[in-house]
Amino acid sequence: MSEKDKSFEELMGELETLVSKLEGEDLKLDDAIKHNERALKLIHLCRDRLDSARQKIDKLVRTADGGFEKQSME
Amino acid sequence: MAQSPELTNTLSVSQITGHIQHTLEKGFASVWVKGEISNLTRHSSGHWYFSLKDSGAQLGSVMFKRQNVSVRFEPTHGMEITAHGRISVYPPQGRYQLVVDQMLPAGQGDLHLAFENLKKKLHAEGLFDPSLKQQLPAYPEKIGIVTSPTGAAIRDIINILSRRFPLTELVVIPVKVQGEGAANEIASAIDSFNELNECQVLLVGRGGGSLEDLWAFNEEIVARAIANSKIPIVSAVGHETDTTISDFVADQRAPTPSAAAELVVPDSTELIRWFSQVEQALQTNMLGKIEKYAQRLDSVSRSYALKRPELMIEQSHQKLDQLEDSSIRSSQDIISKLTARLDNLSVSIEALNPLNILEKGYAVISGVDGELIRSIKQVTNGTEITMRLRDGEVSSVSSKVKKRKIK
Repeated sequence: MSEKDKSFEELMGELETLVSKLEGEDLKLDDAIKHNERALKLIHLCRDRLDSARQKIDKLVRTADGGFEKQSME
Repeated sequence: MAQSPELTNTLSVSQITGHIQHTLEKGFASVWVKGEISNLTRHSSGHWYFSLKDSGAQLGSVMFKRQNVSVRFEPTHGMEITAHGRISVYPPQGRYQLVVDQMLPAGQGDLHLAFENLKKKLHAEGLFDPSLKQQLPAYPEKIGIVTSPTGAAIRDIINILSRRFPLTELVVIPVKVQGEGAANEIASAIDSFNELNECQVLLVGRGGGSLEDLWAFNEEIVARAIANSKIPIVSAVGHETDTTISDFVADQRAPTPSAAAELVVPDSTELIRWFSQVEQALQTNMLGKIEKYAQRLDSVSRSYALKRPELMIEQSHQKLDQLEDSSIRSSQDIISKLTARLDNLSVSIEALNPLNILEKGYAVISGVDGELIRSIKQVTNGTEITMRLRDGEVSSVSSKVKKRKIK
């Protein structure tokens, strides 16, 4: 799964896990460096998403065949 | 005919009144009573005294100031009301009365009773059970909203969500929130969101209004739709003081629609601040870790075991250096000594060159035979001599010979 397909929640979840791992004591230096790099990348990704976010608002309506259709409310 | 009195079973007035008091006050500790107000007196103390009556009976009632300040309508003589309270017995006068703590106009009173009954029923079914509450997602991607498309609530919700966390997509199912059919629309919107299964959390609610306005959220069909929802639901109906059945069934209750919006998403400003803090903390943390490893490396490298061969190598190096130094020094010595000697020699050699003397104005005198004349003894008057100067020779004849006294 590429980073783009991951939800904000998944990215944040991974970040929070890494941060708590890094805050723990017993980490090999290699792992610590790897985790640290990844955490910084995740922060970057999350920040980018927040910065570029523009709220999408849809109205959900029932169609004749019983399905759903979204109509933009903006 | 009554039987003759038995002393052991005879009660005093106080005793029987005590029993009556106990029975009535225990049996009617919390009751709803519907009736018409009559003989209402608002005493200067602030307490209200009145009777509740219907065609067949009347009940003396009191509502003390502490409770009646929160009554939101003006009770008048002849008004139908529903009152809640307890029966209290006053032994000195042998009277009982209803001590009212809550009073509603009759129509509202009916709603209130319906509310209490449904609440009791659903509670008994376990629909309010804390263990059924689903957790709200921390960062919802999509939020479903069930409310009126025209009310203040939807505007407040959208405003707050886009200010706090614009990353979230909003999907609205517009519904009637009051009046005929509202409850059905709300319930089916909740079902639709579950069918669609795209949103991670639902906001269900409306802005403030009267008890009747909010009633749809007290209906069983809405309560059951909320309870059946696989998607966590935040209920947000009316103002802080309004409580609906929806609030009890929902996974979380928000006092207002605005508060619900604040509750379902994080504040991205705070998140961004958190990112900066984490970045800094990570950096400090990494530096600390690297420092710790560096110290370990340092102390290991200083250990004796590693130090010995290193020391030996160092000593060899030193020796080599010394040798190199001294060899350089000694050859330099030799050269400089040789140079000095050479210099001395050249000075002496220079000094020994007779031609150098001529340069200074001296002359070399020789006789006709070429023999050098070193003493006056070799010369008499008239002896031919040759004087050799720097740049040539002069021939002459000696005219006077005089001896110099030597000390």
